[in-house]
Amino acid sequence: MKQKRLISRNFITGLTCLFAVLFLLPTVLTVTNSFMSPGELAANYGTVFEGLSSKETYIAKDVNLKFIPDMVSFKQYFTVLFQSPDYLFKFWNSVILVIPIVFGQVAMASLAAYTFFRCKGRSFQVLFFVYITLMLMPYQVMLVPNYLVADWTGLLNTRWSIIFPGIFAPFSVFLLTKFMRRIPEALIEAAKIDGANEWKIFTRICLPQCRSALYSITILAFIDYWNMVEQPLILLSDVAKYPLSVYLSTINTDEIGLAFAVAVVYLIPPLLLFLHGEEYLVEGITHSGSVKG
Amino acid sequence: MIAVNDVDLEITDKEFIVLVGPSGCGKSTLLRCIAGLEDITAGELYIADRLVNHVPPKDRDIAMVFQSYALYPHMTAYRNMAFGLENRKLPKEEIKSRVMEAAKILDIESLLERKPKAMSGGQRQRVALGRAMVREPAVFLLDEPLSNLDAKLRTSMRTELIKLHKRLATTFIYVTHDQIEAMTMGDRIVVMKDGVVQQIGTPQQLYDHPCNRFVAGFIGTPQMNFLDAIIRKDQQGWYLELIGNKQHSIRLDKSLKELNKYLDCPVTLGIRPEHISLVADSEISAQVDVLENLGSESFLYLNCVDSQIVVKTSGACKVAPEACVSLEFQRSKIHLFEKETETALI
Repeated sequence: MKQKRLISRNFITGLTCLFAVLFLLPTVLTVTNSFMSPGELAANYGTVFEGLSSKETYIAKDVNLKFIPDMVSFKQYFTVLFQSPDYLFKFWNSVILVIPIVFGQVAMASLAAYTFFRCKGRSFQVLFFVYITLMLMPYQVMLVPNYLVADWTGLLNTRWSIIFPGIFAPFSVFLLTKFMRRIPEALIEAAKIDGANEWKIFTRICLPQCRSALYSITILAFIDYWNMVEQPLILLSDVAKYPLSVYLSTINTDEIGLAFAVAVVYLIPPLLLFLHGEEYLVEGITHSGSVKG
Repeated sequence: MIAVNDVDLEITDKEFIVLVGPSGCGKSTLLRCIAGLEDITAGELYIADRLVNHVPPKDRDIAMVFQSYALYPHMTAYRNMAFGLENRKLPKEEIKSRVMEAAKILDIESLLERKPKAMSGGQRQRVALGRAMVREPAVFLLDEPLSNLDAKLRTSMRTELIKLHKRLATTFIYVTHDQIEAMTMGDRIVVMKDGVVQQIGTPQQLYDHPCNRFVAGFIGTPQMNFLDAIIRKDQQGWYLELIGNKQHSIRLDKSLKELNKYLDCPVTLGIRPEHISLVADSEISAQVDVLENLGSESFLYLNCVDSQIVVKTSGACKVAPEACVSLEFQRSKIHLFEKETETALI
């Protein structure tokens, strides 16, 4: 019986390891290949890197997936970081789009959630229900109305056409509201007796206790908008304003040699943010009793 | 539904008053009304001659200790205590001196840099008290502050609170459902039931002269025994005939002129366990059901005239279970309650 259980456990471990390896392969391939020299990449991936016209097939027939470079080369990184202003420019585009969205979203969601937490009237309950309904709508459904509003307000082809809709995120409001509702009423009452006004209760009592939820929405919003593709493609007609996420798909087809290095560099900001707030992310989502859909 | 109805209560300066009653009786709501956390729909509330019905909690010159302590979890004990003073924009030096002084009184100086999660229940309770103390309020409001502590700590904190009240010489309004706390701590006790004040008085007044059956049953441990009886009168005077057994009758030695209208009427007899004694022979007999020996005293649970009554005896009692015993009720300690309204007759 014990041996049977051991075999079963080993089998499950083996199977999960296999899946883990399968899921990790693309990431490992990207990271290791980013350290290959252009010559080595050409040798492995055939003619796709050199003399390839845009009309030709992207993947050559004799592609050889190689994980370990013969010799570590930083040529791709050097090209991306120092010889390709386009990359840095697009990176900056991403930053100036994502940072205001994230900060705006956290600020707006905190204020809205606090209102839903403190105001318990029926009208607020209805409004909160509307928020949840909005949360269930996929972003794609809202793209056309967003486009029309941006056009009507004259914001089309400006970064604000992406930033404004990004700031008002129902999911963050929902998550923070759920989190704030866990704060004992006695704490708010104690603060009132201590002479704190509504703003102080919000900033000094509520927000510090929602730290993990705030981290969660920061990370989720950052990743969400760092990876956005549809919004810039639809709302920005000026290619110069495209963020890195859109640019990445361009270099994947035009300059595959740089694609691996750019992908790795592109991964770094969300990865750092995630690693920094990983604990809070889990706690924030678990305690608010919600999982992003 | 009205949570608290028609309360007429005047609390004198430096008094320790206890609001007591079962769960849901409105005692916490009354305290919250005083604190300004609940609105008063009718009536007037004065604190030190100032009408405070529409005064926000922070301006009522009160401090409150919550049942859950309500310490800010992200702040250290020092910051918790200083928060209220910072909001009043007091100079830093004064804040520090007040916090340190309160910490010294409460013996929590070593805990000031700790956050609430790193403290025990008793320590948190002290910090919560400290937070209230540093405000130097006119009134301390304490909402069941000992109920989250274990029995031993509760007993010691009870004494600490009494000492603290004497030391601070400030008005304390204390809410509890524990009548022992009420009896031991309060200068006066307010007994509440269903949002209505039943009786206000000193612990001894409530114990000796409960105004109704509820108060009589609520105050005292074990609670007062109640037996159904009929008031009778013969040549020798007034007596009570216990319903269920006509052989059981109890002579009354009080002048009961006012009870003339209750002659031959059913009433409830109330007698405290400590006012019944075991005797060699008497008209009232009972059968022993359970004996609880606490060492210094014993509680005898007896079946007497279709009811269970408790008798408190001193020292170790050596009565066998199911044995028949004879009882004597101290006549002067007998309480009578009207059957319908349950109000006290004598």
